Amino acid sequence: MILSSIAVAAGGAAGALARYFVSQRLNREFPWGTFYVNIFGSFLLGWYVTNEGRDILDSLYAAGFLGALTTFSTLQFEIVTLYKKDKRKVLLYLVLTYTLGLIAAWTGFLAAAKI
Amino acid sequence: MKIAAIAAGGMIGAVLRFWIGILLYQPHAQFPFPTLMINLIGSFILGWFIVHGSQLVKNKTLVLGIQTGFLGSFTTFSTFNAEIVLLIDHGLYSVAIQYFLISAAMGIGAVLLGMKYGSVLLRKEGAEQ
Repeated sequence: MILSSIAVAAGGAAGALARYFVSQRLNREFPWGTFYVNIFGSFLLGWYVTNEGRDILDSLYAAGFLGALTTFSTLQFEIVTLYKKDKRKVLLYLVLTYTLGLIAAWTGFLAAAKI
Repeated sequence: MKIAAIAAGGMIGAVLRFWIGILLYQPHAQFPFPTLMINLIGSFILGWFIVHGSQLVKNKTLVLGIQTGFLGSFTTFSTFNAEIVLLIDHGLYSVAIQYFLISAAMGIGAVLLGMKYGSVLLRKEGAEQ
């Protein structure tokens, strides 16, 4: 439990920083940075959930790094702020994020199951 | 300094999510209740923080640590998607659809509610001064 928590903390720090740097570079009028980390992280976690029984690595990578790399709260806030600015963009952002997020996780899951 | 603040916030957010996940874990539950709670609570707090909390903190580095580090890491989009994929894989289609719709709709609701709460507190403080 203590060891897992330390692993989650380390992964969480790395995930948050990676998200920050990508968002800094790519979030403009459209939040492409948040979009990319969310889709990429969903693919990697979809891939990873087929693995079992690697406790510490699970904590570090899945719960820590990928959990922190991707974000739900920022996504919701961006949806609300985009809605106020540009209604077409918010629709695009909503549809792209939710459909591609699911497709990415599903693709990762299937790809890992095949190997 | 910015990097240290985001890393520290990211650590706390991820560990708190991990612990709440363990605390709320129910062995036979089909619906991923812990992740839903975490995502909704995090969205509410983010809405409040951006409108009101960040005004209290003032220090920009600390705001970044809390907002991007802590709240960004506390909530998770990858787990949300992975859970839907696992539900579908287990043939629990209606649970998957419910989980998806509830998260998407209530996520926006939670952020809006948080922002509203923040602006009410701001106005109250303004009136008192």
